[in-house]
Amino acid sequence: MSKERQWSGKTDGTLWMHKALIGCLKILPMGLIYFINALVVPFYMLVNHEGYLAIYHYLRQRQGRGPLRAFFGCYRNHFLFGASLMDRFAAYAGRQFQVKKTGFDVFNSLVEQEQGFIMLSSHIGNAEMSGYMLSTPLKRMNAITFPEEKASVRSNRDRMLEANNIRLISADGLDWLFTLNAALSDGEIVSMHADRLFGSSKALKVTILGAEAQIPMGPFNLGASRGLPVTASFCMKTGYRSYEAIQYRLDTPEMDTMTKKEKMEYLAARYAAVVNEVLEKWPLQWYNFFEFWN
Amino acid sequence: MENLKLELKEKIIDALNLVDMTPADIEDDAPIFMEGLGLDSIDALELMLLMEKNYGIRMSNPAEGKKVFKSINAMAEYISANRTK
Repeated sequence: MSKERQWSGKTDGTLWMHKALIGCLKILPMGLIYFINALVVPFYMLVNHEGYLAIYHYLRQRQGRGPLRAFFGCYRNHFLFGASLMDRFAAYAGRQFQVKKTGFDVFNSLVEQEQGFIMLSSHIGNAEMSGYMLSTPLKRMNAITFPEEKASVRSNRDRMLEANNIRLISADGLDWLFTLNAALSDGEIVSMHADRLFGSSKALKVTILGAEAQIPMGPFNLGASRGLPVTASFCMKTGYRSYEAIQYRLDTPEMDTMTKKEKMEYLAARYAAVVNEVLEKWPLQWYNFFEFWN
Repeated sequence: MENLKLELKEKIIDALNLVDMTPADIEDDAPIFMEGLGLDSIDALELMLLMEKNYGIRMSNPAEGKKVFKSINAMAEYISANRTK
């Protein structure tokens, strides 16, 4: 994968910056934080020019917007991304957000089953927020994270998420694969990103918003080879202090007669379809800041 | 032990869909990952599933796992000592 088609996936900032931000979020009103975010966004768009261009191209080519609408869409996209990050740190600081649940009958029934399942997340919306607001007391959730994440971010997450029966597993080296394998064997939930290649360069081709893109084979291979249920999870920002957490079940009984390869491709196509659906409803909450499409 | 090694190679070829390979192409003492068979994280998970489904061995200890997946020889020795199926 070329450099312009990659994104490190890490949260910027140093340890003291994160600590200072959490401290500020304990005392300052969120409105003020958002106002500062609105002022900072133009500078960020200039500094992070590759990310800006990737979103501009996404809005022009995949969402069919004109140049001016795409430019202002970029601003709103960056603002929403910043606001989502601030919300995450606000959650670290103990603030509460309203979360509307959609499709959670699927999730709740899977949690009650003995076998584990795979929950696919994406760089769309603010998936991590659902982890802070929703707990899974019946089944532990294991969330795979990128190893590049800063230790301070990881330790904050660990503390917050442990209380909700969620364990973070850093995808570093080979060790995490054994933890993941044990979690699935123990009937737990494994949550992983399905829109970013990591750990393996193997990819599947899918069509998202009318154009071909590559997504990692791993999550779909895992579901297909183990015959486990697979869901796609999104948490979309719907207001100042509100989110909508959505669950889609991707596997269907039709898969019973398929080969492993067919199952994998079927799951990937279903995932692409729900990503389409979510991006049509929330086009500005697409946070893959690299040239995602081939 | 030789029969187990052959069986293991056949199962690996099948599980990882190594269509261009035969058991004879896999050396008993060659590293399985990277420079050996060139396997990656997806394949590692497939091998763990193979161990659990076929031999009733659950791989959860990374330190032990790295030794087991060192070569076909190491896998075969571990299976014969720990299999429950």
